[in-house]
Amino acid sequence: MKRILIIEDNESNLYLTKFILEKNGYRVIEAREGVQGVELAIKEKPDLILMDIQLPDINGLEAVRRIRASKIDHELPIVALSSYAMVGDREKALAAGCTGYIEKPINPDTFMMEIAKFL
Amino acid sequence: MRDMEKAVEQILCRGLVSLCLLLLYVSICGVAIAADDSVTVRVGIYENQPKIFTDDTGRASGFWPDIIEYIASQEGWKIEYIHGTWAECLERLKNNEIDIMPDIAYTEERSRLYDFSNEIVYTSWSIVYTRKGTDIQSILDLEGKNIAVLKGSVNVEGPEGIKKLVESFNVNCTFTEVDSYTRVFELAKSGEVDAGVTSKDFGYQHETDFNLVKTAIIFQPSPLYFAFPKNSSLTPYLIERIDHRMKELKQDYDSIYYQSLAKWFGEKHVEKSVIPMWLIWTLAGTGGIILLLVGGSLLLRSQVRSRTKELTDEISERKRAEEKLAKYRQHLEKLVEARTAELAAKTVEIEKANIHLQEMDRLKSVFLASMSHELRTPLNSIIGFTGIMLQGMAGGLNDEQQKQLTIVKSNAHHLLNLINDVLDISKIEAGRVELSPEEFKIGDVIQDVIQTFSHMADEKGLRFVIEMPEDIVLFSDKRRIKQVFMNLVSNAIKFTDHGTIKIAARITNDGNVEIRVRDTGMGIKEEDMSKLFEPFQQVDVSLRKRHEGTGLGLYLTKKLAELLGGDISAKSQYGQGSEFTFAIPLRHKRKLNPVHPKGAIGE
Repeated sequence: MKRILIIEDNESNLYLTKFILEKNGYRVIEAREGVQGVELAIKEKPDLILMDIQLPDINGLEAVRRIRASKIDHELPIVALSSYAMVGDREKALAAGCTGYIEKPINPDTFMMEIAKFL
Repeated sequence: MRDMEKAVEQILCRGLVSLCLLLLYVSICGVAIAADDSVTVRVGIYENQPKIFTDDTGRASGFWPDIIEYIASQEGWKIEYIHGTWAECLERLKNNEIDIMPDIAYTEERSRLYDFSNEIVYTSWSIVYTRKGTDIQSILDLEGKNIAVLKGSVNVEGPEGIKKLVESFNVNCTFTEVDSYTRVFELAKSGEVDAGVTSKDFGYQHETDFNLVKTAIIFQPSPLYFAFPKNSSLTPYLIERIDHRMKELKQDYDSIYYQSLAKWFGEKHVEKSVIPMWLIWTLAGTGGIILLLVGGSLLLRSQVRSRTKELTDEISERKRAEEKLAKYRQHLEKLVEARTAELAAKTVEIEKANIHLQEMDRLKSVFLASMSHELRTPLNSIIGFTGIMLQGMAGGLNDEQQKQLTIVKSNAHHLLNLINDVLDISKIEAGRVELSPEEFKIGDVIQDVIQTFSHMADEKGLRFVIEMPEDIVLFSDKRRIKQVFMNLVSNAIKFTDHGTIKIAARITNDGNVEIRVRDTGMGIKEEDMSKLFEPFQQVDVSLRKRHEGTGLGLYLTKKLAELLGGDISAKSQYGQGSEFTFAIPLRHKRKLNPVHPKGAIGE
């Protein structure tokens, strides 16, 4: 069973993503803060990370950089999941080391299809 | 010596014959009258102060009476004054009703009517007088004027009189002939005439009383004599005696003659009796010429003066004008300075305001970015959970639950669209949209859009018609053009129930690409056309249709069109359909200073 780390501070959205993933047969690891997310990523070595950008401590981009700077697999897919929709947000996320970028609000009909691309 | 002088004088003036006749008369008449001790001479008198006039007591007075009364006293004559006007006096003289008429200038014409004494008694000339402030200075100024003159006076009718004078200058003026110089001055003073002619003697005496001034028109210097009737037996005797006495008088500086001249004219007479008569005549002639010259000179001087005054006036006028101009210029310069300073202050103000506005704009963008983020986060849950519930992921739904959740989903999407449009607009307005121009075929975009909407069009039974003579290769932002195009097509479908949606593309003469979307829908009312591209101005649509749009679609479309360097316009006939024309340059020109997006993603 593939494991997905969700780093997300908003309870509702964490619940939503977790619900969809679990319903689709994935195991979910949760983190509600950036630093905690980085620690779990290094420790748990998940198959995929879904990274929110706005987090209470360090922001998602910084968290991605830290994960990429660690010794864990450089091929580990990290997908930004963000409500930011300004021009350049996607580029910034990719530049920080993200593999992909999914804009919130997610589309439940196509969400799993997009996730599947990175696994 | 005296005999010789006399002879010369006679030869020169009257000739030898006259002298013989004169001597004959003297010998005959002198004896005859000497016998009768009480000779009465009738002397004509008219009013011409100070030369001759009636004083307040009714007595004859003036220069001429002084002379004639002295001579009469010496000769033992009795004088009877006959009062009359000048003309009356002359008439009486002609008719032998008076024996002596003083103060007559010699003329050829008069010499045929009267006899004259040989001794010049007095020399006078005439002057044109006028009121102060008139423009009469020279003879030419008399053009069209009315001038008062003494009727019958030699200065009027004589060969050198005013009438001949003005005629010789081709000046047309009218004359008012009156009976006395006093009347002449009265008329001139009252303004009934423009000017008046008097002798210098009358004028000098009275000009101040009548508030009149001399003009430069001085003419007809005339020696004045005693005149006598031609047909009187007394005449030769009178001439002889008067001439004799006059000579005496002129020779004696202390005589009544000089006393009278001083008394009435306030001047020493130039004639000196020690000088031989021929010389006197010559002098008189020369004097006349000099007078003429002086008159002319005075005239010239006066004209020069008047012209000089005119020029001086003109110069000072010009100076004043220049001073005024200089003042105006200074004033203007001050004004310009003040305005420039104001403008500079305004510019600084505007710059400050601009900076403030830019700051406000930045804050607005940051605010919108945050808002967008904050709105999307809860919307993520709403749309997400609605979606998974409708998928039945959380368990089966009954029909009503299915229907209601569908409504939630639809509204959530509408809200999302609204947020997206607002975000787009704010980005465009803040100049934060970066265009990514690329080469592409417009035909591809049209096909894409039709494909996207084919399902919707099919549902309503609408047909797409494409009119494009040749495919056009554009260099522009494909994604943005598609966004505009989609907006127009979606509107066309939304507001059209039957018929066709025609899409036409062509290159215009000015090198633009023109894309037209034309529908056969409900159209737009004339009064709504102006607010078509305004935000939140959905025009006359049903509630259902209102629900489908954000109210920002056309506003955003226009913004996008402008961003792409083009424009969008619409025409419509209500009830018949609408046509939207979207024109952009064939090749997009990059902006020189693209505004880089300030990341909403903070680091």
